[in-house]
Order: sequence, then C-alpha cells, then structure tokens
Amino acid sequence: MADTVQDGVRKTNDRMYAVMLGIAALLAVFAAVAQPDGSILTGFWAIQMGECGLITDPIVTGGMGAALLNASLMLLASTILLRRLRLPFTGMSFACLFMMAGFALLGKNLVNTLPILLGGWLYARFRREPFAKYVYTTLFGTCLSPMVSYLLNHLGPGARWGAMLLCGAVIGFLVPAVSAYTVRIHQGYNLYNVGVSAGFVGLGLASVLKGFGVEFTTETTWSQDNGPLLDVMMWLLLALLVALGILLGCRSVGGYRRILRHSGRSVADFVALDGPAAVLVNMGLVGMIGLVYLRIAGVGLNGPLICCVFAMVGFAAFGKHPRNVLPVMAGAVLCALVMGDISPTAPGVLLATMLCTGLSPIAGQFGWYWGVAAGFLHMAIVQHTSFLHGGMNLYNNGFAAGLTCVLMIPIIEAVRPEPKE
Amino acid sequence: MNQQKHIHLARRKMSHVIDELYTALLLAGGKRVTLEITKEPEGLRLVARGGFDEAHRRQVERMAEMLQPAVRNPALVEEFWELAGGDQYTSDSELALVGQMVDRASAAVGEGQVELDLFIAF
Repeated sequence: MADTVQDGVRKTNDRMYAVMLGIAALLAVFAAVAQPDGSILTGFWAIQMGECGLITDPIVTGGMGAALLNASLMLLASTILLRRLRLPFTGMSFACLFMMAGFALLGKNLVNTLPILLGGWLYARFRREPFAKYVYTTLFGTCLSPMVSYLLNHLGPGARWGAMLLCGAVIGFLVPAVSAYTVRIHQGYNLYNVGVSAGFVGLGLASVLKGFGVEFTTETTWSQDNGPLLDVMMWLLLALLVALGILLGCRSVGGYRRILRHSGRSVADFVALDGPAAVLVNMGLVGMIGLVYLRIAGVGLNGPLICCVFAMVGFAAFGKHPRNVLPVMAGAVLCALVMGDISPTAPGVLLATMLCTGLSPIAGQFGWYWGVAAGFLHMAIVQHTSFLHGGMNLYNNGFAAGLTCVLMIPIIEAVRPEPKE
Repeated sequence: MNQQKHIHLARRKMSHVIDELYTALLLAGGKRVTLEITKEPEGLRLVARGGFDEAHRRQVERMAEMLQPAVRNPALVEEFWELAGGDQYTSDSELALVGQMVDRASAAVGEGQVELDLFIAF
C-alpha cells in the first residue's frame, strides 16, 4: 500500500516537473519565433547586464525574443534546481516556478539572481541544514535582484563585481530568516510572503547604502503594440493547462469545485490538498481572468503584464481561485476609478490590479466584501511603498499587501463574530 | 544546527501543533481533550485523545487524512510553520500545515472518539 502511494507520488512529481520543462520549451519556441535573427543573443546579453528596477520591461531592453528566452532559461534553471534538490512537487513549486519565469519578464535574470542564490545556500550552510529547506524563500528572494543589477551598472569597474556579489549574498542570507518572521505579521492572508520580507530587507539595505552614497533610482520602461504573438502564447499556455488538468482527471464541475471551498489562506497547497488535475484547471482559469481583464481594459500584453498573469497562474496552485481573486480585483479597480489621480491603465495601476490578488485569502476567509475592501486599500497603499526600497523590490505589491494586512486583519477580527463551537 | 537548537525548534513547533489540535477537537464538539507529551531520545511525541460530535465526523476524518499526507515538503514548513495555531480560524489549510510539520503521524477515528499520535524529530 505504502509503495503504491509512493509510486503515485513519484509519478505525479515526474509529470509536474515535465509540465514545467514543457512550459520552458514553449517560451523558447515563442522566443525563436519572435526574434529569429542573431539580435536575440545581443538582446539577451543586454537584459543580463542592464538595469531592472521597477518598472523595467525587458522587451524594451532586448526585444521580445530575448525577453522570452530569459524567461525560458530562468524557468529551466529553477526547475532543474528544485528537481536536483529532490523536492516533492506541490502547489508551492508551481507558485515559485511561475514567479521565476514571470518576473524574468520584469527584472530577474541569470546574472542578478545567482549571487542571491549563493546567499541562500550560505544561510543553509550556516544553519547546518539542507539547502532544500530554504530554496523556495531564496528563489522568491531574487525579487531584490534589481539591487544587484544596480550595483553592477553604477559602481566603478574595480568594485562592481565584488559589490554585486556581496549585496546579492547578503540578500540571500537575510531573506529566509526574515520570511519566517513576516508570516506572523500578515497571518497567512498575504500569499506573497517574501514580498513583505524582501520589502523590509530592501528598506534596510537601501537605507544603509544611501548612507554610503548609493541612492537607487529607477526609470520606467513599458513596451506597447507588441502584436498578437504574446496573446497567442498566453492563451495557448492557459488552454494547455486546462486541457492537461482535464486529461489528468478533472472531468466534472464537481471535481473542480473542490478547489473553491478553500479560503486560500496559507498554507493552502492545492496540489497537496486536492491533487494536480483540478489545480491545473484552476491555474488556467485564474490566468484567463487576468487576460480577460486586460482585454477589457484595452491594454496590449508586454513583459510586466505577462509577469502578472504568470503570478496569478502560479499562485492558483497555492491559494488563488476565481471566487477569491475577483472581489479583490474589483476593489482595486474601484479604487482606481474613484481616486482622481490614479488612471486604471497606468503601468503601476495595472500591475497592482493583477497582483493585489495576493490578498485573495481575505475574500476567501472573511467574505467578498472584505475582499473588495482589501483590494481598494491595497491599490491606495501600493502607490506609496516603492520609494521605501528605492524601487528595488520587484514584489512591491507583495510588500504593500503585507502592510494592507497589518491594517485590515486586526480590524476584521475585532468586528467579526467568534466562530461557533 | 546543533542538537540544542533542534530540541528548541521541536519544542516550539510542538506548542503550535498542540494549539492547533486542541482547538480543532473542541470545534468538532469535543468536551474533553487529553494531551500527553513525551520527550523521547529522537524527538517529541504527542498523543491526543478526544471525543467529538458525530455531526462533525467528516471534519475529524478529514483532519486525520491531513495529518498523514502522502508527501511532506520540508521547504514549505520552514517558511510557514509559525502560522499553525494561535488564531481562532482553524481551517483545512492549517491542519494540513500541521501534517507537514510533524515527521510521523497516525490517527484512529472511532465512534465519537479520536486518537492522534504525532512525532516531531529533533
């Protein structure tokens, strides 16, 4: 019996790792189609060596093909790393890998993430524990990679490599320790926990470096009119996820509805709780919500927006589902509509509308109305958090979501009736 | 990590597990919950016994299922274990987290009675 269970687990593991490798291949194919000439390599190099603070679209830096190639290689490398560490493939794995691929279209690259991984590995050595225990937080911690790239680009030739290595290693060393603490702050109601810890680490580092004369500045780059290729890629990817889920056994509405009963509050690892079939369908559907919203807003896809859709898709295996993301998104849109100085189609606002779904557990646990309130408040708060870390935390929305929780959760718990016994 | 730190960590984790379990058992209609903790050479053992209301049988069976997951992901536990216990909204996800936090678990659900045997290694 135990062997049968183990065989089943092993089979699921192998299949899910194969799915991620398939997605990396899909990104690589679209990269080759988008930029079939040699410029893809020069563009790829420009992305590796360029700056990437909020909001940098790598399609502007190196071209569409180069950006997709970067995403493909980041996903490939991260998948191989998890596999080599023999981690079981769960919902957290989906979330982590989609964030790696997605944020490779908003700033992460091979050069600026490696020093952070080194720091995470050093932390595990220091704790005398296997690196596998800290690999997710370290991979998520690469959201501070713009800091590494900034030092690479702004320091003198003698100091830049050492400084970037040291900075990355410090980030990778600190983020796992801080992350274990920050879950207590938001109580699991913010799915982007490392966004909070990285926000605080970024705040600390940016403040210290400012004292040494390094002041972080960023410039927004945002591509438009990228044509239909990115839409084709995303709809194909999401349709494939749904089809695969159906193929693996999610063939009825009832089978899928099991996912919807979860509040989404961490740790809601849907793969561990309900198996991968319904989860794959959920991932496809939640991603489609993001794409449909962008279509309604009349915005064409680019690197940062695909990143947001990827974040929604990945965390649809670890807390998000249509029932809890829609109220939060509605709250964010409502805020953008009623507040005079926020345009619903401004780059930062679009990102916030999609990424505020990190607060979806609030809607799942306390009701849709609290979800709307959380989305509203998040949209207002996120406009004023980026300067704290100098625009160097790619998970700025995760940081703002954490602050939203600090404000909202105690209030909700104070006014809500106690559960019945 | 040295042995002392492992013991300290196991103790902290166990206190979260206890918090989560007795809340879950009381919410299942239990009137009396007995907890027995033993410090063994390799780790801490918790045996929890409690009654439950038959109306909550499905929840208790689900709890037993979640405490014995097919897969344990150590990376998940490292980041999230402090979420277990400590609030009033015990749910599937937190019981599943407890299942991830313990190294071994067995559960026997009888008529209106449940016995859980959980072990956290140093």
